[in-house]
Amino acid sequence: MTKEEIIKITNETLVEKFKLDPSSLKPESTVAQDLGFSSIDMVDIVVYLEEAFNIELKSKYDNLDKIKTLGSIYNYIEKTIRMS
Amino acid sequence: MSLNKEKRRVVITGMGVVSPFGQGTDCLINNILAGNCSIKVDEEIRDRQDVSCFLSSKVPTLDYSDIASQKIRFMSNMSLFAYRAVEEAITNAGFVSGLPPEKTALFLGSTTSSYISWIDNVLKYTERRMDKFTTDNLFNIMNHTALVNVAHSFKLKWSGVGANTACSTGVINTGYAYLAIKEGIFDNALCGGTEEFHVIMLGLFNHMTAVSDKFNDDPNKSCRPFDANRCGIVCAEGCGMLFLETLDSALSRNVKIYGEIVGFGTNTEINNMSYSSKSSIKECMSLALENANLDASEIDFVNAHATGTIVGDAEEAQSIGEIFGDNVWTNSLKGYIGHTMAASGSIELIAILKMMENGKFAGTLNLENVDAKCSGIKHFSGVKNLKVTTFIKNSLALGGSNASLIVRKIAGNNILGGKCDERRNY
Repeated sequence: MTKEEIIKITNETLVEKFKLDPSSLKPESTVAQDLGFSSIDMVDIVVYLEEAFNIELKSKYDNLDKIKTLGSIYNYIEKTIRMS
Repeated sequence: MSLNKEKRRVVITGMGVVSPFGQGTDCLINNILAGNCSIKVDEEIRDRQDVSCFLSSKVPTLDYSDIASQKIRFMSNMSLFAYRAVEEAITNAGFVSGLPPEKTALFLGSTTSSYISWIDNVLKYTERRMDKFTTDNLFNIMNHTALVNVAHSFKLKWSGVGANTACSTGVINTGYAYLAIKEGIFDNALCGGTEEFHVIMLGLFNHMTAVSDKFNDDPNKSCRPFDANRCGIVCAEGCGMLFLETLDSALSRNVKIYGEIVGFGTNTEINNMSYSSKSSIKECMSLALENANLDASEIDFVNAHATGTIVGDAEEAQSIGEIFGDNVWTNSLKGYIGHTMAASGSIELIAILKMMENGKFAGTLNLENVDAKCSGIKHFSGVKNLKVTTFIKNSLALGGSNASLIVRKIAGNNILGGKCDERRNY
């Protein structure tokens, strides 16, 4: 899966689940400040992305607090797919 | 909090509705007075073989795009309906900021929490996929899901409690809000009930042979309270919310007063789970009259709960007849919108308040031949010009939770020299 495909699926998932404006989804967007995600939102995002990509991210829960931007979510998924 | 020794008068100054006709109080009352019916064949049910009724009365799709995305994902339909109804009630009560006073209590409930979220949770449980649970399916299955969603959305940080007494929820919440303000526990309150349709509820009523299933080809005729050919309820959804405050507060704010709540009674039928008996409904209305310190002869209109069930309508009609005789105009509004369950009490209360304001009252829809067991009370059809000053509104629930509320018109909003006429000055 290419990086562009990962970005597309991630963005589509976030727009569907959180009714976000697609134009607000930029790699540099911060998850808390710009996108308004709470810690509860982040644990749900893990599940939504697991289902969207058919991957397991749960073991990475400990790293959630290190995710600061949307770009880091793209990288996180890319790395998980590559390692699986 | 401390109890005031002097009882305070409680008035209704704001109302908001989401009904199967659409958004807004005016939308509801205009459709009812026009004799319209919101009940339709439900295409999502029509091909099911496990129910005999294919009808529902659902809220049309509304635009919720102005609600923040982080809030809306925790809101199933019952919360969305409540959001819109509260929004209207607050504006209608004259709070131009869109927010009520800080110390506004919230009394709101529903019959159940969200079926859709429960179903998703149960599926994941049975498939051993609980690691795929999401928090929206937790917040949507809480009993107080609508209450907290409204509280967060409108910054209602004061007390939030809600009766969840099925079909009497709206009136019971209004009644307890009235008592709390009257006793000085709270100064203001938003109160009512909300309901979202799911076919499971229809299926459960179907099992009890309590849904209307003889009019699948003629939905407008399907809900027929008090009629000889009635055959059950039609499940519906919506929300009705009212803003209550003290009379002094309303006068000082110089806002429109729709009515003064003067009496509330509530009790529980303990002999039947599926309907309230004549004796328990009589007791409930008597409790409201006693609370209002009114004689039955001082009531000039009755809005019945009457849902169109064979037993329930007869029990209520006979109880009304034994208290008020055959001289008090009586209607039921279920024929127009179906049974909005937890929302029915507050939606119908609002409709009657608008009728009292305008002097135009809609009779019971589809009442073509009054059942002998429902006779002995003053039925009517069509629209009548009536001068009503005091009405009683009944609300009865499965399980036997009864409520009756008595509301009196503040005579022509008789605000003279900053004072309001005493309520017996008619």
